[in-house]
Amino acid sequence: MSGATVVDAHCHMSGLDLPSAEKFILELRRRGVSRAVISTAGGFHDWDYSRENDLLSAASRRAPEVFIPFCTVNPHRGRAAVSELRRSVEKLGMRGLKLHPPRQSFSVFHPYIDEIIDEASGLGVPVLFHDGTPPLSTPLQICDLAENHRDALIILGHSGLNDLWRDAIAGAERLDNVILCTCATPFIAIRRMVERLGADRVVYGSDASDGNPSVVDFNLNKVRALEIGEEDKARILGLNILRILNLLD
Amino acid sequence: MANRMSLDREGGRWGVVDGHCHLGAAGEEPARSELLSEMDARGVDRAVICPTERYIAVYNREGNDYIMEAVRSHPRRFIGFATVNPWYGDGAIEELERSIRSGLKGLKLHPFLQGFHLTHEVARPIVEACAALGIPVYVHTGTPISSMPFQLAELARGFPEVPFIMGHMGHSDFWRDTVPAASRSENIYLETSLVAVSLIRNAFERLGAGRLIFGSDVPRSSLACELEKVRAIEMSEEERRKVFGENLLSLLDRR
Repeated sequence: MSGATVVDAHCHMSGLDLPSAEKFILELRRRGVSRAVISTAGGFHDWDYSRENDLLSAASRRAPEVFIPFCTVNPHRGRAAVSELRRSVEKLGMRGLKLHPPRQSFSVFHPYIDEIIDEASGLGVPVLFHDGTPPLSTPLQICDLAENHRDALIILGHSGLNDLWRDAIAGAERLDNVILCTCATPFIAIRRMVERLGADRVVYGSDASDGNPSVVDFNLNKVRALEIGEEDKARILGLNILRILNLLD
Repeated sequence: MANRMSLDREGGRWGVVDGHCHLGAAGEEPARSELLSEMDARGVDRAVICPTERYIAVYNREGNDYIMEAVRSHPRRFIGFATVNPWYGDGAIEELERSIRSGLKGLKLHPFLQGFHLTHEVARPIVEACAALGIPVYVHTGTPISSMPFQLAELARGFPEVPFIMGHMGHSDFWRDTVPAASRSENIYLETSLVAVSLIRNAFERLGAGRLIFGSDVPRSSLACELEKVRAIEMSEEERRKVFGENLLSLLDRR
């Protein structure tokens, strides 16, 4: 087993109480995961997502050495979404923005999405997108957004999933502000993206949550099974996402 | 059931059968030797092999020939599934019959690669032929708009005598449909590659071990990772034998 520090770039928290957080930390540690980017699980459906951002940031403050919280906002709220993003980063200390177009029922061509992405890039935080799910979040739809916002850093949270990973790699090849996350992406696609883009553009993620930590194993094993050097593996397993988030010591 | 294959107990353990692999033609991956050495390394005794992409889409005969040859070379290691594109009509049925006569054991359909809907009438004669031949049908699922779990369930309702294997359990985005769709027809089995372990565990709890078939989807996935994933599910030894081979073997040679 690789001795690299493992940071999971794609996790969720459903229970925002202390026991749930502690249980999740134990489950992650048991699997060799030191830190995890967490975003809401149920909050994508909340119109009042600011409360969810409050709760998530409070939960992660209990274990700041483990949890790296990402906020969420909904473009349907217009300017309120932009100011909530600013509040979440500046006041709550959240490190990124997570958007889930299908669950939040918005198109990436929503009139307010540009302001939100600009705000994220102005704040210096990445935007982690759920992707791979037509019709609202295909990789190339999101890459079009990345092309319009070259200062923003966009993470494709699933790199196209099982059907659209070729699109994700094609988009990321053109756009150096697009990062690919290995979560639920088939092994062949992970191999291909590392070959085509290099290890610096790929981050490990699992979609694990406190309620469903066991998906870490399969997703982590896929990255560990890559036939690449240990240094490159260490980048994918954790160093890249820490660098993106300015968390490297 | 005549000629039903048995799951041998070898070396004090039950042999594992991988229910879904692709084998590349010459110069494509995975080469036969690579697949065999990977199976050896992971303790997999037998694997269902079927052709890869272009052979699924258009060059069915060449793909099936390659699978037949692999089975002839390694009859104790490989179980061959043929593929035919339903749009070839009578030619598809003739090719399927030829393949089964030559020792292949099932049919693989991939509605997305083959450009048809499971509910389209073009699929029916092929499935009727499978019923007559007594062979199972493995169907890739999860890719909208042509290969979704409920489309398979719709087809399966019309052919209760044909076993259907729901490839990848609707992964990526149709996992919510998997158990409800499979609940509609007893003749639907779920193949475990690619999909998250939590969803396999849920299907195991809701439908039982008798409906699950371990598969790896090599070379799209890693055999080692897929094995470890399914092995992590707590089940009895008897249930484990079903999932890792017996269910699949029970679907073969049913005439």
